Amino acid sequence: MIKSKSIALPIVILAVFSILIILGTVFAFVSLTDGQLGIYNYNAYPTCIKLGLDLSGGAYAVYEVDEENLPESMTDGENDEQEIEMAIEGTRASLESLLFNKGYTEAQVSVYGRTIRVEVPDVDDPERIFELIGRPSSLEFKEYTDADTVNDTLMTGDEIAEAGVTYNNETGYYEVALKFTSTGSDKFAKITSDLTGKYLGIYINGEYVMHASVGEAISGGQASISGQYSYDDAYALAVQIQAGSFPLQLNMRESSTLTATLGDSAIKAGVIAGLVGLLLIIVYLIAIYRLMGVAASIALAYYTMTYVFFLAVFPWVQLTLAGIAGILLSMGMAVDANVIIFERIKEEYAKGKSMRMAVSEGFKRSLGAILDGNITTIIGAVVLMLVGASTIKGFGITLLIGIVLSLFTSLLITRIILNAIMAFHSEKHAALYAMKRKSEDEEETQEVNASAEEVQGGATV
Amino acid sequence: MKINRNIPRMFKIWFVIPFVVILIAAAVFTGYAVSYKDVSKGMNIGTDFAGGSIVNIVLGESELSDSEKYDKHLDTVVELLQDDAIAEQIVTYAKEELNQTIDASAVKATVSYSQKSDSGANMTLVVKYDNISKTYDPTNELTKVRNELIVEKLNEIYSAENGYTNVSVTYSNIGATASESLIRTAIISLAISLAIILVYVIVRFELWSGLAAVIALIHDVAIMVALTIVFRIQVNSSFIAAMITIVAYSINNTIVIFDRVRENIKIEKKLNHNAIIDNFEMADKSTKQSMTRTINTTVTTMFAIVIFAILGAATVREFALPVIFGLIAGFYSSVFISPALYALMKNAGDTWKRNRENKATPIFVGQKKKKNA
Repeated sequence: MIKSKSIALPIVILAVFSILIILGTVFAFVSLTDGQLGIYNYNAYPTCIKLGLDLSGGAYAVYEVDEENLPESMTDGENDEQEIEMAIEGTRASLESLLFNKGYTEAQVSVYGRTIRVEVPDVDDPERIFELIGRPSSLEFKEYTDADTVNDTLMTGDEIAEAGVTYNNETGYYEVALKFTSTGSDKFAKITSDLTGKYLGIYINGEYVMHASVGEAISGGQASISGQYSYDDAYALAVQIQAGSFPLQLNMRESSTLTATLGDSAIKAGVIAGLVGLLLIIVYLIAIYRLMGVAASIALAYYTMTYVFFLAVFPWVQLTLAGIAGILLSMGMAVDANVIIFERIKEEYAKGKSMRMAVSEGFKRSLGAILDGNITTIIGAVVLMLVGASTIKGFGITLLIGIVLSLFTSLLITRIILNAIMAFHSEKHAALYAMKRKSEDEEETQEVNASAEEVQGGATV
Repeated sequence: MKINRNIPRMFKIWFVIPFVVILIAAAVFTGYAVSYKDVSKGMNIGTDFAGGSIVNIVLGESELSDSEKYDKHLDTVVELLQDDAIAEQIVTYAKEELNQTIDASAVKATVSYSQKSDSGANMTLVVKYDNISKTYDPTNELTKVRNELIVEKLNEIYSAENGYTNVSVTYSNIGATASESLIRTAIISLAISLAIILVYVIVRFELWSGLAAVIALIHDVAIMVALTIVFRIQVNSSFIAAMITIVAYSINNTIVIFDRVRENIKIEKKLNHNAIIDNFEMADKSTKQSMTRTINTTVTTMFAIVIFAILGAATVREFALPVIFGLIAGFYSSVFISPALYALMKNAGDTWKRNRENKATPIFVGQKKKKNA
């Protein structure tokens, strides 16, 4: 009865997945450069993964606290040392978040005395951001009456939590988007409510930049500076404004490049461990689960390729040693859901269900455990992303991508492939899927055991 | 696989083993701390946490791009860091200037990593190594003396007499890259994760499952740290990442077993109404039903990371080994600790509930007693 069913669709499904995997593998290892693709270059996607400091090196800069421009409270002779120390710690935290927001998720910042040393992986021209940080801009909000009058400062840029770049569709120019701290938001709301119907002017380094009419109190804690900026100008201004909000001003003392501390050998070990590990998992799965193992292996191959692809594409990912180990572990965990499902399928079949029923029942009954298990892991990853600082945040992102992907491949792709393979077989081929009916001996001993234990249990309670 | 004994009921054995591991770790920790007279030496803490010094030698590309020459220069520095004469000078300085006795072994430094900086004629060999422990050297004065001695020695080695021209040697200090705030946020985010996981498991399962699962997670991290101490593996900021990974993955094992418990209890309740459920029986049955899966998943997760540890250099192993310890601890806790804990706590909870229900009807009991009397 199963044979009569059309096997055209299963053939198409298996063919599509085979082609996807072959293409994925080929493009993982082959690069087309030097005119092989005309004016375009193609680099094998795993090589596009941005690497952290330990694996590919980067650049460093050493900043000194600008001792001549210390805030008054730190030079008045009262607890100066402590105040400066606290301000340095604050500057360090601000610097870390600035670098993280500008895409340097694996930046390392360390403080020694009155110097701050920054190391960032080699992405997006690090020397440029080093230089911008060393040239902070001061931002001031004043009431604007006319071009010749300069009014008192109402608020400074100290209370800016983040400055980023946005694109304005209407004007076609880039803008600097400001996000205030919570006290900054209150202050800004009060200023704008006082100025309703008047003009608010923005001054950078004491110079007039723009003014806007204030329609109503702005309470969202956000504002933007619209000039006729190119992306580069807006980016530079955003970095400089954010650097201007640091508790202390920094002067750059030196900066240069750095090579990797681990480098190629660690990457090579990672790639070999990944490939051999993948092969071992596949052999293990097929040995235990036969054709079900084949379905899981195809899904695993698909998972690994997609994961590596996403890591290459997502901008926040800068792979470090910990990241490599994370990927290696995730391959083992990605088949976990399949192992749970297959064990369930075997159980259901042993109880006397048909192959097809056992499969659908197995997927259904293990869903609860799989979802609960993975949701707890997702909770962990999301908390890391929200609460953790810099590198921990990046690690959370990598973890999250892996879990969501593995859920997708192990629940959906394995099922599609398993059903497609099963279309070629009938009930009598159950052994090919490592499915076995419960033998009568086994059933008996199990029942005896169960009742024996029941008695024992009853006695102790 | 047939194990006829009830696993959770043997909880006394299972609970003792982790305590023994932790006690051994405590002994190793104390042993090292006492022999170095320094608490921070109890654990092998890397420069990421402790900060350190770097020495920069501007040798130029011709001397550094060749890996053989590079290794020769690096060895020169490594030897100086372990040099007895330099160590002796620092010990003498400490005695004469600071009136302080210090052991020569405490002032010798180990290299945490080396790298190259800049390019062309300015290409520089950068070697990072640890400082003298704060216990002996609170103001970093001895570290400064040592760094100056090393620079002086290096200047002699790389002098014009030895055929080197324009080689400049400098040193600088580096603070901890894993700042206190980083460690603090890591611990806070771990704590928050555990709290939310606890709430989630309580909502989806029951109170005792949640508590057992979270205690098992704490066990995993504790064992991981304990084994890292026992094997003197250097702890750097990647260790935090390893800990987080283990917490994230290890919860899965426990959840799968508790899912089985949840299901078995449901079946049991359907079959025998009002029967008292034997929680040890339920926990045991569920653990055994999930055993194949627990073993298979642990094996598949181990494959790649074990190969990575075998192939990788020392730094790779420093990271991979704690992860492997964590995986083993996670397997152990999900099979031997959390089901037993669950059964123990649930039994206690059930007994308490029954007692309270009995107490809730004192009049009836009292009347009965009077009648008997």
